[in-house]
Amino acid sequence: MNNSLSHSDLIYLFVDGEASPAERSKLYEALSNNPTLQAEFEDAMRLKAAIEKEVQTAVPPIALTEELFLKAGIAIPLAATTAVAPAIPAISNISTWLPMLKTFVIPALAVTGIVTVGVIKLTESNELATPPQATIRNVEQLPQHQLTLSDQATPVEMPSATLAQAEPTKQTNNKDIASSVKHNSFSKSNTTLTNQSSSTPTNHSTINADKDIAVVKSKQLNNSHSQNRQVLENKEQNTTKVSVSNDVDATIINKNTLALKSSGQSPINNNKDQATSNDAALITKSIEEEPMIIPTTAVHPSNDRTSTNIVTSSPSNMIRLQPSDRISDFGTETGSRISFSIERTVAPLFLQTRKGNVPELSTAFNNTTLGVWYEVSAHSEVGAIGGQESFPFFLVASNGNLSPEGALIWAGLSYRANSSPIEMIGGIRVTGRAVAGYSQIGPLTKLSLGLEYDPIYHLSITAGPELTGVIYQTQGSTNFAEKIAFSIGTHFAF
Amino acid sequence: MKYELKPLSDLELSALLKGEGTSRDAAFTELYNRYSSRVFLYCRRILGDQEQANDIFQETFIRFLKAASGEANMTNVPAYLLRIARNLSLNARRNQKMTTPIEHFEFPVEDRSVESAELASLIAMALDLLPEDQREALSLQTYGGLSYDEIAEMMEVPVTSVRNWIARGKSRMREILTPYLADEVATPSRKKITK
Repeated sequence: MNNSLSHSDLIYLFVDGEASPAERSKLYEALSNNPTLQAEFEDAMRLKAAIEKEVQTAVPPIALTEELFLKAGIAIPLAATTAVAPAIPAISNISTWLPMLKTFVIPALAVTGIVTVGVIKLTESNELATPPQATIRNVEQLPQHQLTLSDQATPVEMPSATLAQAEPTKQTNNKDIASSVKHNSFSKSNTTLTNQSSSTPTNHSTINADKDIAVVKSKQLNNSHSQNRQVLENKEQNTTKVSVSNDVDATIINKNTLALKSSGQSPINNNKDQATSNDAALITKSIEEEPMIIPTTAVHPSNDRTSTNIVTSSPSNMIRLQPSDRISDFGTETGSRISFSIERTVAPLFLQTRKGNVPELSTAFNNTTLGVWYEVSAHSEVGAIGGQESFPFFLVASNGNLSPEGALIWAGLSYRANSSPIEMIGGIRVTGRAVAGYSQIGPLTKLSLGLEYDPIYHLSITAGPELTGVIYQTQGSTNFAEKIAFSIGTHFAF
Repeated sequence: MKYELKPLSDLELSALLKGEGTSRDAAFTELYNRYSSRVFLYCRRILGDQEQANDIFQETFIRFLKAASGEANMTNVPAYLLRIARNLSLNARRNQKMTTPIEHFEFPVEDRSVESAELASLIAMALDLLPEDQREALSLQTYGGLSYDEIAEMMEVPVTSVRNWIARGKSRMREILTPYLADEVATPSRKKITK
């Protein structure tokens, strides 16, 4: 005990809670009849409050804290809450975020789009180099007398061959057979090849062509149904070829002129892409290009969304080619379907050094993404997706305290594009996806590139790496945090 | 998902610092939340130079983390932190005295509201006018949150000396700050105070 302390000194010991009982009694007695001491007591209380206020409001600068955490081996991005700096800006304040969109999101989307389009073009060119095979089942049902071809190299007459338009008025609007050099995109031109039943008195085959070329080539048709093959080929030319021949024979039908050339006969004009039973066919040697061989074994591309689909109708021997449509076990569909997706993210790798800070979250929904998609075309989908995933960061509270968080919760819009099936890898497609969304700490973008496989029509499986980036603010400064993860997802289509 | 470490005591948190990975980092973060402001202010008040105070502040926590990994028990974390900060600050001040005249000191204003910044600046200037022993004891008590006994132990002086230093230091600060305390720094203008 220091007896040299004055009453004034005792005030501060009392305010700090350090005065002894005897000192408190002494102070109370002095305060009761000393207005000056009372005023000093009030000042001491104000001083104490002022210092406490300073302590409470003093916050080490975020940059200093980040630097310290880096030195300590704890480099976690710091995101400010709205109390410190508005990490989630008002939507009306878009001008604030426009530079960031230009800097991060738009280039990311552009790169993804370019890569995806490039992949699609590449796969398409590969498919052109190795055209897929398709089967027309009913070729063997063609009446022998309709397609009587010889092995002669010179044009031969097809006296009984019938190339006619059964119902011309309908065929103009009902072009059912289509094929295209571009197997996946020939919706503009559909042609119909109908081989009427042989039981009809006037047997005929109908071939319609708009502006593509259909080369129907049959190998070994000579009285051998089991070895029949037809080759369909389209070219973007203004002539139409119909070739029914052995290896060296072909029938050529111009778009506007069906030239049926037999011995001594002139080509017969057919302005409506028609051929009648009375016309003779021009059979020429036409192996200008390697024809598309259609094997007799049936191929039913039920899981192929984009490749040329061929449907045969046995009773009417109708062949329908609708490459842009999707063929399922339940029939033909015309796109624009809805699908739902669920994805799981595994093996997150944080590009920033955040060693030991990937939290072990036990919640079932963590690292899960759910989405709803709408197919705008055979190669692209748009969707709304969202999820929660491991992404350690700290929130800075209004009092400056750091609150560790283990996961991001986010939602956004997505564009997804995929290539045509690549035959050489079992029909697997290359798929790319870009997401622009928002999380609880700021704008979020995701880019992924992977492979997609459709085991059945209603289900597809995707897998590939995914880059996630988040823009966040710490007391006015804008930062970017990112991670790479491997994502596995499934799409359920209806 | 948040780590709920707030209910844990300093002793429990310091025990987690001996581990690795997420729990260690989270424990360090929680202790940082609890005491970074006090250490930061102490460094700023003891050292006038802002840049130097920042360095001492960072070095304090890094040394603390290293020490906590091997220390058996750390019963008083704030005292431990302030001891590190004080030792580093004293060394820095000794070097500072050799190179920098005190009138060149800048009293930093943190990135806060004008009112808070003004208050902090005034308190800092008032502290700077005190004798060194009073200023250090007062800083440890007000910013470090240490008791008189802890301060005496840290400064290796009798408790009575600490009581005298703090009481007289605060009395002196009151005299300096009375015009401002009346309306809690309502006047934004900074008055020049000289020794």
